[in-house]
Amino acid sequence: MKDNSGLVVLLLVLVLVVLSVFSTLNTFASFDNAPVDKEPVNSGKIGFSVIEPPKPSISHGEVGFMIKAADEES
Amino acid sequence: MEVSNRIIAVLLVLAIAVSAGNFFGATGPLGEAISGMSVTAGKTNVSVTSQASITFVTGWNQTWFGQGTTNAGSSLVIATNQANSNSFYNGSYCNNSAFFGTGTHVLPMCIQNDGNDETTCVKIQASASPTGWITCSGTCAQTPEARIKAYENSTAGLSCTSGLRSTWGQLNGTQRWLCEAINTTRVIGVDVELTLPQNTNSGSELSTTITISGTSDC
Repeated sequence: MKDNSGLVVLLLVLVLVVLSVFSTLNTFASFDNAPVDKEPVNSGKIGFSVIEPPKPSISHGEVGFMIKAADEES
Repeated sequence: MEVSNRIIAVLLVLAIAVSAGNFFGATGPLGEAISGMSVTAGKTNVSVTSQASITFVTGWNQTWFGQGTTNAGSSLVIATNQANSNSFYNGSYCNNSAFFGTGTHVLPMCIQNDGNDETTCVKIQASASPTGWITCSGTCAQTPEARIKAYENSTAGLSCTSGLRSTWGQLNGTQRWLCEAINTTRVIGVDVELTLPQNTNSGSELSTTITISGTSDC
């Protein structure tokens, strides 16, 4: 049986290298992708609305009288 | 496949170098802290950049006085720190800490330091001067005015450690400071006062946009 120990060691070392490289890249990427708080709200609004005052309610009435002519003496 | 010991050695050195670079690059040199012995203290070097940032407390950036009528023959003053007449909403304090009168209330503005600078300067300005947004039917019978002042909103010590604008100042298109140094996470309230001429335009909403900014110094 052929001795493959050299190949096994080579594969293990390659895995180690790959893992190390990814670990390194991930470490630095995490600094760039640090969680960011919500954006501050820097604008607002002040406002109001003017309405016409209610008009007074007006109802019409009538007051009157009539003077009747006096009866003539017969 | 024949792999020479030289190749394996080179690859191992490479792996060790990458791993070492990763370790020291992330945490900085630890020197003699690396040993088989347990250690009770370590050191991490952290550099924090000062960042001045402020924000309106969520929901406390809309000062809406509601609908009301003007006075006949004189101007009308409405404000967030008083009970208002003519059907305009009564005033209240920042974060509902107190109210004036009953019914629906107009909210003042609440500004918080959400950065990490303990001496952030808070400034405010409107998108227009009072005459630009409190408009009248014809020439205004009285001069429209918009004023602001700031107040402390914390019972746990000062929020604004210096330069609190506690007296009324004009609110217009010019940037004006409210607090020269607000502590982190703390909140200050901003009162608004408006003077409405007797012939202020009716039937539509009159409003102006407010912008605040935080800087490391005033």
